[in-house]
Amino acid sequence: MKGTLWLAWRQQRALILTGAAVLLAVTAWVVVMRTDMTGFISSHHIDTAGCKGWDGGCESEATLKLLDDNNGPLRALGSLSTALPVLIGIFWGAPLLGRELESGTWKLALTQGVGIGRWFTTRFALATASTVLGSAVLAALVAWWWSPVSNMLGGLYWHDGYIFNATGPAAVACALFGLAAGTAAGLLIRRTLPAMAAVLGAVVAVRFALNSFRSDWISPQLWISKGDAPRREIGSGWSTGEFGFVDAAGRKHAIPDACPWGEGLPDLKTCMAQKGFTGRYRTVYPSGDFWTFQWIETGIFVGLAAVLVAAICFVLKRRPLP
Amino acid sequence: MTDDPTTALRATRLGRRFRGGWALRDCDFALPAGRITALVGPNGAGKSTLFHLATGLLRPTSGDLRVFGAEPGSPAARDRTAFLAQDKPLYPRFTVDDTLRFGRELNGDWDHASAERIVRAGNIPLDARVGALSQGQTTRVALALAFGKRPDLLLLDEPLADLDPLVRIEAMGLVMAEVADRGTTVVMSSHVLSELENACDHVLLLGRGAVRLDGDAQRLCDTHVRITGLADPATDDGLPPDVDRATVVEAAVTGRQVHALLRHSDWSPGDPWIVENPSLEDLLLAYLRSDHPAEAAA
Amino acid sequence: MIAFRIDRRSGVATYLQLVHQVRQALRLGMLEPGDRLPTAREVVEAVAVNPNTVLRAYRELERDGLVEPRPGQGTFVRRSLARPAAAADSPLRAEAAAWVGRARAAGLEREDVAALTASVLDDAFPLPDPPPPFIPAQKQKPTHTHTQEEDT
Repeated sequence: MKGTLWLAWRQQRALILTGAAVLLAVTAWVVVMRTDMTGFISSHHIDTAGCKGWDGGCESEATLKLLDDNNGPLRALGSLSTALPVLIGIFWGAPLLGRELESGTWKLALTQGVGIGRWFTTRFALATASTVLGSAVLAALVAWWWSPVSNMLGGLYWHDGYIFNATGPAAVACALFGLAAGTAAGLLIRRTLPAMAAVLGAVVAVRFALNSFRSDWISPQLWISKGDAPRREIGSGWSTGEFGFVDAAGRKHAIPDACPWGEGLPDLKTCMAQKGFTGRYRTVYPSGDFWTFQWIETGIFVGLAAVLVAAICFVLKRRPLP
Repeated sequence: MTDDPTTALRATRLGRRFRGGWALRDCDFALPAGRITALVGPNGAGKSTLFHLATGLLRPTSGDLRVFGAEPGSPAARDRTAFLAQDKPLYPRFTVDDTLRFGRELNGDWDHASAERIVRAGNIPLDARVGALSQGQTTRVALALAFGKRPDLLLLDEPLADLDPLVRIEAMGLVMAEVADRGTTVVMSSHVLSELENACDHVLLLGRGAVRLDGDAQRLCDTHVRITGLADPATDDGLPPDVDRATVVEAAVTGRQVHALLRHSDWSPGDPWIVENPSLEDLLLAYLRSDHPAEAAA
Repeated sequence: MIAFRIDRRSGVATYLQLVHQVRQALRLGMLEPGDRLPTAREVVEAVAVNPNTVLRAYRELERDGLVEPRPGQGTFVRRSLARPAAAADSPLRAEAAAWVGRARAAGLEREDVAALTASVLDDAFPLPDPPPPFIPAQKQKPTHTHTQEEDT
């Protein structure tokens, strides 16, 4: 390795090697766990593909054991993948410039033959490549392990945080955002420890906000069941929790208890007729919306990361650093 | 802007303002190439600011500074300048070998052999971690890194601070040897005036962000005079009334005696005066004291 | 080869200290004709003074005919200052000792004797160029010495 790339490698090699070792260990563990799982599925002849949704209708001792055995470890892997952007922000981003500024070594680095542009670009590029690679591997591991038992009975669903935040392009984009936020915090705060705290707060806050507002970005599907026919089953969809009655004009009445059921009360059909309801509805995001949500959040994370990188470049170009 | 090869560092109305006010303001000077300039001034006079401006780590708020005619921080200026910051920053987790490689990888023109020779001459193992070195060894490695660049301008911010007397001489000896070998221009700030006296042949004195003195060290000593005599009771400062007060750097009355440092003028002390040429240290101390009138009066 | 020492508190100009030490070494036979003086680099690395100071001292010695520079090789001693007449057991020293004994018998203090000998020495060996204690004002170029008056 030559020039600034050597310096970037020399300064980040401990992180890269540690990260690679952890990733290797996790991969080995996932391979073992998933092999066990698929072995169990085939030896018990479980039709996982035909068993999607809460009411998949395939409850058996074997399926319950399958989920029992895998839900916990999958949650653990999902948590690790979800936490990765924070970890990268804290241990990779914050010190990337923060430690140089804190210890004064930026004065050493920036008075050598290479310019500040190359110095920063190389180290940030190496950190970015490591971040993308590491988070992509982890996201792929989550998806690979989860897919046979996805959206199944009491297992993990695509819209659970353990899965949604831990896999797909959004997980990689979030890791990138964590790196950019850590780097920016280190540059602006100039001290590693407070920068670490700041990036922890920033990534958690953005994640929390996205999880809270996710359902606002696209409209759910409206599922109407006519008359007193039972509502359509949710399956592997994501219910918004909104349901109620529709009248002849097609207006929705989100009053689930408009026709309570019990002794001495009119039955559903009578009640609906009395109140002028012609059917029942619920709103649901079908499992295919996973990708829509993923690309929206990928866009948000990449956009935020781009803004932060632009801000970093602006500050570095303007100087003074201290 | 003339690109005068005999001027290493030229400031034109140079100013730098921080949130707390002006660190340097309206500074004009031209530090000669091939010389060793002592940068002197009380704390907060703007010495470190000047170094950071000269390396491009800071940009001036007003005016202009040139390193051999080039803008500080530009590739041309960076290649010719080496800077040893006050706290001598090095990467503590690098080995000495890594540190020298850092210099090699980040500089086009790098003299690895001489950098390694300087380190070896200090009996510093190349595989030692920089963070585990003594202060003297750290200084040596930092100087090796600076000299390996083959700089034409070497900027040393308080290179001797925090060093024990033996290491001071050793560090200064290294710098002087580099100057003898390559004719490097050196600008060095220090509080150890007596050590500057033997090393430096040019002086730049800063006070409250302004240039108070700039010139050849010998010439400054020759053009100032230290006089001691009987105080004139009729004047405030004890000096005879015909002394041009604009030439008085400092004057102090103790009992019937007055002790003063003057710049040359047409006034010549008569017989009862003890007249000496000041040493550089004496001269600088007088200027430094006169920068703090309140303290001098106390 | 000799090693130099610098006394930073002596008040004697550094280059003069170097000159004196070379002369001393020549006088005591520590340096002999043909010996090489340390290079400026070697001297400044050891005693941490400005290289020009060493060069100035060597020029001074060269002017006195004591050393000569040989391009590419260094500075070499041309002649010795060792004088048999100044040795510890020489007749001259015995005469001086006898004279000091008489002065002491006459009641002179050590300082009196030193002052007396100094004044005799000054008469016998006048200084070539005594530095004036006070240099009259010169018309100097203001660009070289830039000073600023107190303004507060």
